[in-house]
Amino acid sequence: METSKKTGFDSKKINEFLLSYALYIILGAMILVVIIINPSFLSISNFTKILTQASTRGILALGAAGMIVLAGTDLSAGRILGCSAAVSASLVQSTTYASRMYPNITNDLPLLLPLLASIGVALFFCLINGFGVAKLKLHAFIVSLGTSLIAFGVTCIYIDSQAGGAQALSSYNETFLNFVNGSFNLLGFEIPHLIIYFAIAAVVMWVVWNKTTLGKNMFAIGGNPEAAAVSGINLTRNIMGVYIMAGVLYGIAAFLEAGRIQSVNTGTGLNYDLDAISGCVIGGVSFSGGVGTIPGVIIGVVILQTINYSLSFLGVNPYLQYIIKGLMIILAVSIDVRKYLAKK
Amino acid sequence: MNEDNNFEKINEVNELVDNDVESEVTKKENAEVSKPTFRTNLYDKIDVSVKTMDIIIVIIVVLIVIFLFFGIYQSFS
Repeated sequence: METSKKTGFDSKKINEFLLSYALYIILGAMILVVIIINPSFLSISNFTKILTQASTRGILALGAAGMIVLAGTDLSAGRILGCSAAVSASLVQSTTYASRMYPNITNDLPLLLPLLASIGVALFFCLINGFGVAKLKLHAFIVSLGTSLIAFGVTCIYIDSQAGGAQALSSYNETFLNFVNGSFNLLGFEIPHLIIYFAIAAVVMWVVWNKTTLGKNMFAIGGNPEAAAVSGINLTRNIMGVYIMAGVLYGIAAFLEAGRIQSVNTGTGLNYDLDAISGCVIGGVSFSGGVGTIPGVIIGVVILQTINYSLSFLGVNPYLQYIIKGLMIILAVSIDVRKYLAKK
Repeated sequence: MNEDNNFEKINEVNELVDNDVESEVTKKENAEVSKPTFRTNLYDKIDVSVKTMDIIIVIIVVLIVIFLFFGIYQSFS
């Protein structure tokens, strides 16, 4: 009797564990299957490629995570990245390239200028989002959907305004390409610069989230805005702060992404927002607000990139990849909802 | 005697007025505090049991496994 009682308790515990960690179990099993089918997947070069690809999306996700912690979302991150990337790409085109957007620029600009331009563009759109959410009390979903379309329109007009018509912005100067795509040797391993930039962004964001008043206020507002307001937190100022932070990160991500893909067109940034949001959700940032960690976001983004990479590595039909990724996002949210309901 | 009664009545009325004013103030304060500055928690509106969520999670997991195996099978056939 006692044994069955004990077994019952254990099976309940096991069920609980399986349901709570279903996503990670599936991902682990999936990676295991990929390794069994093709053992060459388990190599340093593949791991480096996954991290490099995850870095720009990771920086984007670090920005979007703040909005999710505020119980909102950002559907415009991808299109904002596209617009900022177009602006920075046009400013870093090689001066020897005949079809460059600005033929009047005859010397390579210092990299700080295109970076600031990229951040400026991203900030502009994020401030619109922030104003809509903080001041007009609109839902982040609607405001960011609007700015997403505006950013896309602006990108199309900007790219279309070239003398040669709507052609992709490519052929960048060497300094920029080295800055983004370069690598350095550490104990015999080639470490790409992009991974370092991602690591720096993650450390800075960890400090902002955990050691500053803005970070603490952000969690308080996300958890319970009314209680935060009553306890004297200035909602508008703090929400705007989170959006400004996101704008800076989007701008940096756009600048780096332009260099990584080496050709920016109107399609750049498409679905990046969904990748960023799903990375956050997989990493444990709750849509209910007030819950999330920077290590979680990083793990989420890397896991998502590993799924993308391993499915492509096995040659799985890209249309099926969309379905699998979509299901995984729904699974992550379902697990989050279940946790919330169980706690209630 | 009459004066005493009047005095008591006045006191009672004053107390009632004070209470009313106090309750009005409290009401106003409460209204300000509970003013919906933001939407309520997204998940509060979900009206399902934990058991239903468990079933949903299991269904999604099964779907993912099916699509994964189908995808891998398709890529190798």
